Amino acid sequence: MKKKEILDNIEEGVIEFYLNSSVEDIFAMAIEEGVEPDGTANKRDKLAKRLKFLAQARLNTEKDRSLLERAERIRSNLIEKYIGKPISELKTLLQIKGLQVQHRNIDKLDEASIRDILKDIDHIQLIEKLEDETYREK
Amino acid sequence: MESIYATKQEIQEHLLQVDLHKIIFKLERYAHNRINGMNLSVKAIDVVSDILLSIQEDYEGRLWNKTKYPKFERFLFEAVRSHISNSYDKHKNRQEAETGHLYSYQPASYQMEVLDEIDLQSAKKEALACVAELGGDAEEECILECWFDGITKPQEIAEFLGVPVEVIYNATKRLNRKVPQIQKRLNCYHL
Repeated sequence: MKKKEILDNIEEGVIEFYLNSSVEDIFAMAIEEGVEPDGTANKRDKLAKRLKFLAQARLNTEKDRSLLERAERIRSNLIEKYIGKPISELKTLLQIKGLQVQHRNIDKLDEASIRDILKDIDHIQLIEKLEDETYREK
Repeated sequence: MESIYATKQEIQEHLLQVDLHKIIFKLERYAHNRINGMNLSVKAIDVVSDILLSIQEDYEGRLWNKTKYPKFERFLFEAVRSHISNSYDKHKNRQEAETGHLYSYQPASYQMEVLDEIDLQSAKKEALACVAELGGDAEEECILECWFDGITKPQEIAEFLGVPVEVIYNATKRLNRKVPQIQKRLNCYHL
């Protein structure tokens, strides 16, 4: 048998003891050994708060990034879809998307302007929709 | 195919799910005992802080192998163990370079010496003799024998020995203090 295996087993026994023991028991054990565990309580508390804060912040960043990527993909697909469509169809699309409020005179818009408007689909609106979807999925 | 390593996102999610106050306290106590056993001059809370913050970073630092350590808490203990072991190796190499003397005490270091073949029964006998010399009792000896045989969880040891688990916890507390000496003895032990 390898010596390493034996040493690993002993270490495993020690780790399992710490993992499964109650905090109160480990605290009492430290006192018995002449250590005052409360001496570092403030540092432990600060570390826990910092880790929670950073974990939440990084998860939010990741979520926002993922939503932006999805929104960008959808937007690119839409742009692809609009290329080559006749102007009458593009006007209908604008109306379907509810953008006629801002652009009442759709009939006066030329093809290039309609394409621009469609390209400017509001990312925030899209992200809100995606967030709603994600929420419903959960 | 799914990676055996957790993503940073999974790590963040686990950090939000676990009772951080509890796990930080346990990791600190474990690190304190390991550091004391190796005579290192670092503070346990600083080691734990460095490790927990580093596993959270985006860069490829310490990875969580989910196949080897399915439980997140167990992975954290392994990260602390490995970090202290590496610090000890560096400390030892520095000392050797300065003094020209070889260190004989290598608790959890995976140097060549630790990779030696060893007879299980002889090693067990040596370790039990060490426990007895340090004033250990029969309960501690039984637990150490279980560890040698790969039975390491307190509940499993209790079931195997047919005693309440509280007995195991109490005896392991006493045995825990002797572990650095036992490891030292086994490291120096050769067939």
